[in-house]
Amino acid sequence: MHQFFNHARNSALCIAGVAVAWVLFFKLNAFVFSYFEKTEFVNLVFIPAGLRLVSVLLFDELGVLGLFFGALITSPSFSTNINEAILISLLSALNPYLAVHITRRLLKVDHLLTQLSAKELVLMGLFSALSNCLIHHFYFEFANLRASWADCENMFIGDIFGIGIILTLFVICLKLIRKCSAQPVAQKSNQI
Amino acid sequence: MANFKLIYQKFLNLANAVEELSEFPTLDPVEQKMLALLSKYWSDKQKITVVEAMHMTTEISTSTIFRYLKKLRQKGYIELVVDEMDNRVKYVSATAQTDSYFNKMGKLMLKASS
Repeated sequence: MHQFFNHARNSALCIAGVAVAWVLFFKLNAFVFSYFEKTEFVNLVFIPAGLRLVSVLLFDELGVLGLFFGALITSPSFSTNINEAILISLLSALNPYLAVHITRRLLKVDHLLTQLSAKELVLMGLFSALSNCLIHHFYFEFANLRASWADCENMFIGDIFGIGIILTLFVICLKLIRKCSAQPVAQKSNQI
Repeated sequence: MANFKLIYQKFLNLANAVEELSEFPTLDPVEQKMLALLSKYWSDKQKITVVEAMHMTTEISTSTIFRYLKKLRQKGYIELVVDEMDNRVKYVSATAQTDSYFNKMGKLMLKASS
């Protein structure tokens, strides 16, 4: 019983972490890249798209749940049309999960990502961005929402830029961490 | 359910893949050794065929060398140039990526020694 609660707490932590990260990145994106906003659903630079990919790769279904709650909180139609907000958030969260699973199967990348290379990661990002813009616009078309197919292209570009920015940030963070952890070792060796 | 051990393992593998985006494709010790051996020929402006490369050292078996040559080619560190006179003969030659790899290694060595 204790173990069950421990697992549940850890899962809730992951979900909350992803949801909070989504909200932060979404707000940051709206603040920094507001100039590139095309419609309420489309931006030419969309950083949270990168978070989608990373969350799903690391946390699987928990990432999906976190993304869903995050997208629901930041949905522009959350207060006006809750059904629409839930559906769009579901699409937003499920898309990268399906895209990653399909590409992982096609590229024969295992669950632990041991075979993952840069090329495969880029392909995953591309496929995720493509499926995201297509499925969103199929829904917009189906629900008669204000969105044109030209925006589909913009959404794709926005997702690609977003994924690129997040992966670049990832690299910078890793290099900084390595640099910081290497400094004390270098100092020690100098002392010796 | 969250399994932090799995998540961390995935994070490490993802970090490796992400780092490959910004740097040279990673080389394992055998690949590094192979490049070092090949560089002897390249620095002397000597041409080396695939067959000669397979016998350039006794430390590594010929089949292993062949497998690693394919790996290095996939990673863009070597290219195979077909002989003008005989299509059956292929030379192993360096690429621009190999040059920048050696340049980077040289700079790192200087940095480490200073």
